[in-house]
This record gives sequence, structure tokens and C-alpha cells, in this order.
Amino acid sequence: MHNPNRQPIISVRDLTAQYGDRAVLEHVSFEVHRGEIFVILGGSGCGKSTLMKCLIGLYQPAAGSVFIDGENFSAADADTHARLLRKIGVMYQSGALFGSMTVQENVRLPLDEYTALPTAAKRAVVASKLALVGLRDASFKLPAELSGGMIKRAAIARALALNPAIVFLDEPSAGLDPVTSADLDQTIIDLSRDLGVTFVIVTHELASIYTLADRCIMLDAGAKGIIATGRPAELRDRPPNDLVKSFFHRQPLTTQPGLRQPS
Amino acid sequence: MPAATASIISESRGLVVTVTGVLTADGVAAVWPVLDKIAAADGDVLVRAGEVTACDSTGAVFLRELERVTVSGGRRFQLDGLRAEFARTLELFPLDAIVPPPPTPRRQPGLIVTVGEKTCEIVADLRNQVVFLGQLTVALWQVLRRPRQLHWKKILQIFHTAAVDGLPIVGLISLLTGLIISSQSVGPLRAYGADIHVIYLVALIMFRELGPIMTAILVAGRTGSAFAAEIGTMKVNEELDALKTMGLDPVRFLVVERVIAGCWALPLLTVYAMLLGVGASFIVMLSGGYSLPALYAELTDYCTVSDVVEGLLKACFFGVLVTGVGCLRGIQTRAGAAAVGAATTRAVVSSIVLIIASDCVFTLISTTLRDAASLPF
Ligand SMILES: Nc1ncnc2c1ncn2[C@@H]1O[C@H](COP(=O)(O)OP(=O)(O)OP(=O)(O)O)[C@@H](O)[C@H]1O
Ligand SMILES: [Mg+2]
Repeated sequence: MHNPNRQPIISVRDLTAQYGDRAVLEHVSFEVHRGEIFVILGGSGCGKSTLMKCLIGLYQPAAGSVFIDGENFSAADADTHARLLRKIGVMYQSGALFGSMTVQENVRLPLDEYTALPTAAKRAVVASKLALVGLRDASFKLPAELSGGMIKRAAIARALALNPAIVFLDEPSAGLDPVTSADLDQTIIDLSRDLGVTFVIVTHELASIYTLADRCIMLDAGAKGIIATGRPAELRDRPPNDLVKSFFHRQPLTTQPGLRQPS
Repeated sequence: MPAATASIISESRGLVVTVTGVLTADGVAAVWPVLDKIAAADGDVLVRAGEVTACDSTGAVFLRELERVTVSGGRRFQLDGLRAEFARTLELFPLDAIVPPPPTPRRQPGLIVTVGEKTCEIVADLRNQVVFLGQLTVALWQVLRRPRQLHWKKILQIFHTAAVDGLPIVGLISLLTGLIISSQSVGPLRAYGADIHVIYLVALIMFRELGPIMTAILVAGRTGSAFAAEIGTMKVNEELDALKTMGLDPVRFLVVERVIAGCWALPLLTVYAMLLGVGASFIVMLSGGYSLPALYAELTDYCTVSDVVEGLLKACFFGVLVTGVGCLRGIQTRAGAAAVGAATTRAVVSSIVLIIASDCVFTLISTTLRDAASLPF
């Protein structure tokens, strides 16, 4: 579906990330194309959140670089950095809503800071984003008064507030019921198809992966990098290795020592 | 040149609104005022959007708002010429999605209600403190019967941050107090030929009152607040709930160790404060030409061990008080980051109030006892 001649919106080259001396990711390279829904898969603790933090400039990679829209994000000066950040919306794994503000104030904050919209317009925009994630009725609640799934949805609404070109979602469907989760998947697909938003999503939900992902990469803690790239259906039908196979077929890893062998 | 424009022409059938340009946040900000004009005018509205070159979700919200303003006046609305791709964007935002829900009114209680609520709060807080004191006593009793259950390493660690790391600031303040009281009282006392008694004066003040009080206030600020913040953050992260569901009592698990560390740390810091305060007084007097033996005789003639013991007893009590209150405020933390800040503030303020209140009681008891034993002061 993507046009290979077009410049990728995110391009990661030879990225290495480490905490202290321990490398979590080594020599990772991949590209995300404009308007696609790109999913990052992998077992718990393999470095998905770390990779995402590198992509959004929160964590400085030890080596390698991240290009956003053709500009080097890892080595950007303050102005470029600020400009690139405007193109990005992020939902963190924990939601990270501001606890002292209501849901609608959380969503409104970026609008207040970065747009010249009149108050009535901001109100309508905030309402529209909250309606998109089905949180209209919780507009005036504080984050402490929300359930885990509502926090996720409010955080997604905030990530979408400025209509960013790229939206990063760290486990958006964790903590959501299947219906809300499917709704959210549909919203993501709509936004991607109709508004051309690029999504980079960390998720484990096989169901969402098949409906959502244009392409995915799978990371592994042992390999400290990418062990598979492709469309989800491809990976399911022709898994390049056992790790990918057990992930897509929800099987325990038979080669892993100490685990019960399936009969 | 604004990113987008909107012009209105009145025709016989109604208003024709022509919208052009880039309908993103900047463009929408420029054309938004047109909504007021449409709301104020009469007649059906036809929007020509053929020259809209870009339209993101903010643009969609603007177009929907145009529709809402028109339709809510009972008029008809028609949108013409919008490119298919933008029309699909518009479909993502149905008409009712852009209407903000009415804010839930926040109740504004009257004066009497406020006074009543505050009183109830204070009474409930007192009750909580008593309950907490009970829990703490029970937990301490259980632990003292089986001291092996305690994590002595953890206690030592807490003791280190509370006492050893606190030495510089406690030293600084005590030195300063000793210096100030001595240098300021030498003059007035000299008028009566009693300037040698400065040592006696400073020693009494440092031993009985200021030594323990100032140290306790400093520990409240340094350590009590830290306990409140740490336990408060644990509460916010549901770590206290986790302890409870594991069948572990938070008071036993978190508070006891801190209180035990505190009730050792404070007396030791107080001894240090007493030494430095009196030492400072010696320095002032020595530089004023008095001899060391004379000063020393003054100290030993008038001050007794009971003065130091009184101070240390107080310090022990303050140690339990300050660390206990810090932990209590932490445990009482409500949800959110701001609540942790509030817990810290409350820990320091209640500690200081309780230190002063209990010091009054201590002083009352000690003067009565001295009177009964017909000691001089
Ligand atoms: N701040 C940190 N300091 C040190 N090590 C860290 C830090 N954050 C993460 N790690 C380590 O880096 C590795 C990758 O962590 P990361 O959070 O990226 O995992 P993840 O793939 O997002 O896992 P999950 O699916 O559980 O969220 C883990 O082994 C973790 O222990
Ligand atoms: Mg993670």
C-alpha cells in the first residue's frame, strides 16, 4: 500500500539504546511510512517502551539516529526539536494525565499553549476529541476519579489534541474491554485513512494487530533488536522463526528450557 | 494574509458563506468570528467550501459548528463543494460530538456549612491521630517482643539519613543560636555584674528547651516531610493497598522502623546541638577575656545532669512524634501528585504545632516537679 519512492516519515538508523552499561537495543534500523499504522511487538521487557522513548526524543540513544520527516531528531537544535515535537502526539503506557486537571483541561492544555483558537472553538475541539474516544460524560472528572481504561482513552484524546502527524501509543488497548478496544481500533483506522495520521503503536492484542497493523516489527530481548518485519498475516502464516511463531499462534515456546513441554 | 477566509453574502434565499483556504488550527482561528455573524443573522445558510484546500479535524469542528449554529435557530443548512476526502473527515465528527457537555455545577457551601465541615474534619483528624497512636503502640509492642522480625539494616539506613546526614544543618543552627544568645546577653548581664552567668543562661536554654526543640523542628523539616512524601507516593501508587492485601499492616511494615530510627536519631542530634550551642557560648566568653577554668566552673556549679536528661527525654518524645506524624500524613494522602505535596506540608505543620504544644506540657511538669523538690529554678 505504501509508495516506496516517498520519503519515510520516521527512519531509524542503527540505533543502540542502553541503561547504564546494559544495552537494551542494538543496531536497530527500520522505517515507518507516511499514513501507515505501524505496530511494535515483543515480549514484556524487550525494549518496546525504550524504543518509543528514543523515537519521541525522551531518551537519547547511545548510538545511531532517528529521523522524523527527514530531519535528524536525535541531533536537532532546540528550535528544530520544538518544531518536530509539534508533529508528535504521545500516549504513555501509564496515561500520564495531569492529576490536578480535569479530563477536558488535560486535553485543552496543548490547545491553550499552541493555538490561537478562540475559547468557544477550543471547547468544541476538546468536545470532539473526547467524543472520538467516547469520554464525553467524563469531561469534568479528575484523573483520580477515572478507571484505568478511561485514563487511557483520555490520554489518547490529549495526544490527538493538536492533530499531530504521528501519534505514538504505548499499549492503548491494555485495560480496555473488547468492545471499547474494537471501537478504539476503528477510530485509529479512521484517523489514519481519513486524516492521514501515522500511528506507531505498541500492543500485544493479537486481535487488534490483525485489524490495525499495516506493518509490524517484532523485538526480542535476547536478540536486542528486530527479529521479524512484515504484515501481521504474513508473519502468522510464514513465521521466520520460533519466537514469532509462538507469538502469533499463542503457543508456549517449546525450546525454552524449564517450561513444560506441550503434550 | 490569513490561512483561511470566510465571507458572507446575503441573498434572497438566505446567507451564502464562502469558506476558502487552509482549515487547520490557524485558519480556523481566523474564520471563527464568522459564526457570531451567522448566529445573529436570519435565513437559511449555504456554505460553499469548494476552495477549502486543507481540512483537519479542527476544520471539521468549525464546519460542524457552522451547521450547529444554523440548525439550532431552526434554519436549514447546506454544505456545498467540500472535497470528498474532507467530507470523510467531517463524518468522523458527528454534529452532537462538538457540543461540550454542560459543566457539573460545583456546590458552593455557605459559611455555616463550611465551619461545620471544618470542625468535623478537625475532630475526625484528632480521632485518626488517636487511632494511629493506638496502632503504632500495638505494632511497637509486637515488634519489641520479637525484635528479630525488625529489619535492622533498614533502621540503620533510615537512622543514617535522619541523623548523620542532618549533622551539618543542626550544627549550623545550634552554633548560631549559642553565638547570638551569648553575644546579645553579655551586655545586659554586665550591667548587674553578672556577665559570667551567660554560660549558665545559654546552657539552661540549650539543655532544657532550644536544643531539643530546634533539632526536632529541623528533623520535622528534613525527615518527617521526606517520610510523608515517600509514603504518600506509595499510597498514590496503590502500594499501601498492595501491602494490605498481602496481609501486611502498613503501620507495622513502614512506620515502626522509621519511628524506632527517629527516637534514637533525635536525642543524639540533640546532644550534638547542646554541645555546639554551649561551645559557641564558650567561644564568645573566651574572646571576651574570661578564663576557661572559670567558665567551666560556672557550668558545673549551676547546671545539673537532670537538665540534660530532661532535654533528652523531650528529644526522645519529639523523635517519635515527628517521625510518627510524618508517616501518618503520608498514609492519609489522597489521590494525585498535589496530594503528596499537601501531605508533606501537613506533616511539617502538624509536627511543629505538636512539638510546641507538648513542650508546654513538659515545661509545666518539670517546673512543678522542681517546685516540689524546692530546687532553685
Ligand atoms: N529507567 C530504566 N533504568 C534501567 N533499566 C531500564 C529502565 N527502563 C527500562 N529498563 C530495562 O530495559 C528493558 C526494556 O524495558 P522496556 O520498558 O522498554 O520494556 P517493554 O518492552 O516496554 O516491556 P512491557 O511490555 O512490559 O512494557 C527492561 O529489561 C528493563 O528492565
Ligand atoms: Mg512498555
